[in-house]
Amino acid sequence: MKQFFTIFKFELSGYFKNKFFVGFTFAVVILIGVGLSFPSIKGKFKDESAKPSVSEGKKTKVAVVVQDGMDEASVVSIFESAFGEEYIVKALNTDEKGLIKKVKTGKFDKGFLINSPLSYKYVTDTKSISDSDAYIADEVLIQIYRLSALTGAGVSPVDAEKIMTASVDSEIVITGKDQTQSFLYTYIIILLLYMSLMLYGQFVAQSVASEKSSRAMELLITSAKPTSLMFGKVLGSGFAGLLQLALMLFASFGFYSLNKEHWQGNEFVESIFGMPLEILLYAILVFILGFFVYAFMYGALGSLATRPEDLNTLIMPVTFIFIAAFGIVISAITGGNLDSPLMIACSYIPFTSPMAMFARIAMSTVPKYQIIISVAILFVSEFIVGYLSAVVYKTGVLMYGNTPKLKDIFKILKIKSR
Amino acid sequence: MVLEVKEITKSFGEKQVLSGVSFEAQGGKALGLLGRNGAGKTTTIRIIMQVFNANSGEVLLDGKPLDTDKVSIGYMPEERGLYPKKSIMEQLIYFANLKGVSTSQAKENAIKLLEKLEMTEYKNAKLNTLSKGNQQKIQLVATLVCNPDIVILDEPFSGLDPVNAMLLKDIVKELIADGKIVLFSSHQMNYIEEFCDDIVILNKGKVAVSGSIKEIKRGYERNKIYISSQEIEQVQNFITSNISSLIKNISQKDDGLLLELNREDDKPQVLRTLADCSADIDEFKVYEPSLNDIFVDFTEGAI
Repeated sequence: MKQFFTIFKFELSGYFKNKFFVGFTFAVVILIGVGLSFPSIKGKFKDESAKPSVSEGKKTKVAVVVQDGMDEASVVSIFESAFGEEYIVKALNTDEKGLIKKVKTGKFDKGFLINSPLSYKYVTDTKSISDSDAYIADEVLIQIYRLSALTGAGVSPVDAEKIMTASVDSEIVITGKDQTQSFLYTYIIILLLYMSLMLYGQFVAQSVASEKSSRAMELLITSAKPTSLMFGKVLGSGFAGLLQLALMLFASFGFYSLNKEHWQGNEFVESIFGMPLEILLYAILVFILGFFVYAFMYGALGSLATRPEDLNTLIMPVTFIFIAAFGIVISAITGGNLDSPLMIACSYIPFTSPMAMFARIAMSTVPKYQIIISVAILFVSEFIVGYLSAVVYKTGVLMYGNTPKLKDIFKILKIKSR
Repeated sequence: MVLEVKEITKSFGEKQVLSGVSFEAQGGKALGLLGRNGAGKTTTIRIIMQVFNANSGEVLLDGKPLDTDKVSIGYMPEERGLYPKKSIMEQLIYFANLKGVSTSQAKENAIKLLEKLEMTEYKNAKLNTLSKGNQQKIQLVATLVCNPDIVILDEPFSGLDPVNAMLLKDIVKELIADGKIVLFSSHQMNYIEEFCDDIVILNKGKVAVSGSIKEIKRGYERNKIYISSQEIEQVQNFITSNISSLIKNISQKDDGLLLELNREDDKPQVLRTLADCSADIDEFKVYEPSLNDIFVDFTEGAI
């Protein structure tokens, strides 16, 4: 046990003395601090967010050509009100060629050639991905058409207006989770889990492999029990990771509460920090449990590398499982189908459950017994994976030469378990 | 203190690496552990250090099973290795801590050893900034920083210049004088002869020969005579024309002649006959095999 603590301390101090690790942590904390304090530094964030300012010179110029005797003035005015302040809408008396020329030469940014109440041509120099102007034009024209149809059928303009602007009064009662609220923080935490589990897992593998390739292992293995070496290293790395994450979370929540009033009304930020406490605690729990499952495997695989360059090939299978788990979970949370059979299965498999069960808990309603079973499976798996990894590690650290293949790893496990 | 290795056997999968290896190492003496590459030396060392267990047999210290938690073993592996990017003092303390030595004691031990090896100025340097010879000295400090009762040195002299080799020799002599058990593995036979009273030669996982070097040498037939002279041709002619019937084989070795007699009892007659040889003879002695000869004899081939 004493050896374990010596190794744990040595690993941890290695992280604290690593300039990259310390620098990165502080850089992120500073970035979080600056980012979250930005509105109070500028002092006018609320105004900006309410109506993003666009300078006069950057307003979009839209030409409207009305061809078939429609009321040009009313069409232009409806277009103006539909497009808003960022657009300057002007009526133009020309044909299709003339309109294209005007747009091409840059006199106008875009143009609408309205052939009939329900047909138009949209001319634009560049069509951006987020261009919704054609959609707005659709809405405007269909509204004009419906209004004139109603008035044509004998409905008074006032009634027609009422019909057109009728709205439904509704109220939503959510008995489970509101995915529109939870999506963002779930996504962020899944991303954080993915990055940190992968990063720290690989740190463990690298650290073991470098001890072996520098042959410091020769001395270590004769000075300490392999299990102490492996568990000390994995726990040291895990603790460093947890500390880094805690620091980042602490900084985030700290800076947010300092600047809380400036973020009022910003749904994006409010939904992240409105995350329930139990979700955050569960995220920490799955980080710890998930980390060990992966770090043990990474540690065992690191012990099989003779040279650091063998490492990538060795850890690939584990990384693949991990990326697949991430892919499944991300597609489930973006698709909103968190309780699909695949996700339910994934939330029990120890390699996928840290992310999958977390996503389900955060965005769906999961019965308590399912959570308990999932955590229990994960917890028991720690010991099984830890034991098997220690067996591989014990043999692996003494093996030099060709990079072992998967069947060699099974051979080690078979011999040792006899 | 007496370290006894008793009948240890070890196999890795189908491969039998050690079969019934036994030897004994005394405190205050160095034991040379010899053998060709792959003979089982490292496996034996690892079993002593309990990196893995033997399939059968035991390792005893003063008659009781060796407990590495209570008895400290300093090991200098043949494949040198420490942390290249960590400071020397930091890793020396770490390795001592792993052996149960407190940080303050480790620091004290490390400083003493660094002083002895003239390395104090590098105590805060990173290992990879040192020359190979100096790294080797740090490796020795890492071996001894836990003040071990048993010291296992695997090729300790490789890569050292003559001055550093002298420093290391002094330290090894000091360890022996302090009553520690020293296991010494090397292919440089001159060092083995210099430090070790006893040797064990392993061959293909078995003890080929063990015991005191003197005894082993005495075990050889005393039918070889070495004669050195400035006029070696003349001596050789004299022998072949006068006592060729007594000689089984004659060959030149270094600056002299090596005669292998048919019977070791013929030595006095050879000596008497040589008294009449007009050549100036510097030396006439029974030829004892060198450790190198013994090694080659017992391991079927050259190193």
